Amino acid sequence: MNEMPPEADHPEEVDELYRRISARDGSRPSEQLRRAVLAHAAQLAGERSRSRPRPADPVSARRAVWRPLAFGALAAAALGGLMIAPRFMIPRTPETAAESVAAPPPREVPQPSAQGLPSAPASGLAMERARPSRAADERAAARTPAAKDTAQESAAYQATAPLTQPPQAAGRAQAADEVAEARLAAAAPRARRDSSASSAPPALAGAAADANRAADPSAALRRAAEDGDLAGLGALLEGHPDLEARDSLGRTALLLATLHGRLDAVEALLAHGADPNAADSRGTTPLQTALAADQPLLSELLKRHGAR
Amino acid sequence: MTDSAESDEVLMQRYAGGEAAAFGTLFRRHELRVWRYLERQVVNRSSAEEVMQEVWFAVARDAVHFERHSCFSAWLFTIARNRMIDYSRRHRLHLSLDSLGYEAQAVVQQLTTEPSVGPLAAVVLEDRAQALKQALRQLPQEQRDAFLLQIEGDLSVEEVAAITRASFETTKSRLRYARLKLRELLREYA
Repeated sequence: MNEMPPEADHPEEVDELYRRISARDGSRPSEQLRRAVLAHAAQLAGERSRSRPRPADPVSARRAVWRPLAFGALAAAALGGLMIAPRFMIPRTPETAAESVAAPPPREVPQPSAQGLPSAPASGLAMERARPSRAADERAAARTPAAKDTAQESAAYQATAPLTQPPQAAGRAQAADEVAEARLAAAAPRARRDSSASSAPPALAGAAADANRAADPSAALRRAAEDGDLAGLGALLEGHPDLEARDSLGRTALLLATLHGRLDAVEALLAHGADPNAADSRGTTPLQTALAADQPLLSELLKRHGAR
Repeated sequence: MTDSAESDEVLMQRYAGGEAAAFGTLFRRHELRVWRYLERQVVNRSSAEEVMQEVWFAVARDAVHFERHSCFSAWLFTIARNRMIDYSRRHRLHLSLDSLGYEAQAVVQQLTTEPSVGPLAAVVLEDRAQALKQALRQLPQEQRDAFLLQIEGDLSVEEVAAITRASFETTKSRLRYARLKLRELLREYA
């Protein structure tokens, strides 16, 4: 084949003939196919435009760079100030310490910063409360059981509370984190990332989700459904994963399988009890997706399982 | 957005940034080329439609991975070719000279040796488009593939060689053979 053939006299004549005949060829892709392609492309474009800033906008790009830097620097400065300033603001009254030993224990007041993150206190007393236990004795010395001080403490706490995580919430977050770790260790099917109703605060839940993402069976399920990987899907379904877990756009595995026309995957998910009406964050249901893509088999299958 | 003079590459970037209209322009600009490339290689229209959808879905999905300085046409036809090969492997429906059998080739050769009988006159064809398709199907698969890539994708020999993973000389040879054969087969339509 590598042997060179004799030169064609006028190779462009063949090309011209080909083009002339092709121009008269009325064969075209069907309108149905064209609609499906354009609808799919439009959907992906919509997802992209929502999920990230437009790259052609230089102002947004500049803001995206300096804003995190500026806020990060401010946060670091505030944190440093909070850690250093209380050292100079604690009243040192050693003579009252002796009195406080004999005095009855102070009234139980919620300790807002004991387990939570450092926050911006509204007074020196509140800042003191946020400090570690080294100042406990000094606090006891400074604190008196008088009603006036109690009122000050109460006011300080009320001013601090909105900025500080309550101890109960912190405890719940810690407990939820431990549960998530235990689940991860046991390879439990449900992922914390998908449990949007979790009681853990978003920051903690997000951090744990990042750590667990690699082992997220729900994400694996969605990927297998999207790819039509029946073997992988079957193996994952045996682990009883959360079929209604959603991605960042609110799409379930069933919706993704429908979107990509994976009839077998849709059937398998429905057979395992996937909700046929689980819509994405825009309210698009699997049936609407199948109808838009002109997938009659998928539409019928979904309807048979109660899709509306 | 109309079918402006913006390059394919710029349109791809805009689509990757979330502008759906840019994809529409690209699709209208290239759909017929891709369609002809596919339809003239696979066995029937429904197969061509299925592969066509896979190709454009892949283009839409992978738009974010399209490199800014790449040639869109070469990228598009690489996807088209790969999808067609995948499809033929899955369905075993690829219509090539091999699937037609060497018997057909022998018949063509026999017919072309008799000047009084044109090769296409021996086959009942409805129109020139059918004749063209039939002639293309007489070509060996590699020659047909290379020829269609070049003429429909408007690609250089180097680009065709890169897509088909063949050497420059081999590709050049395939293209010459393909044109010689087509010229012979389509002589009566010239």
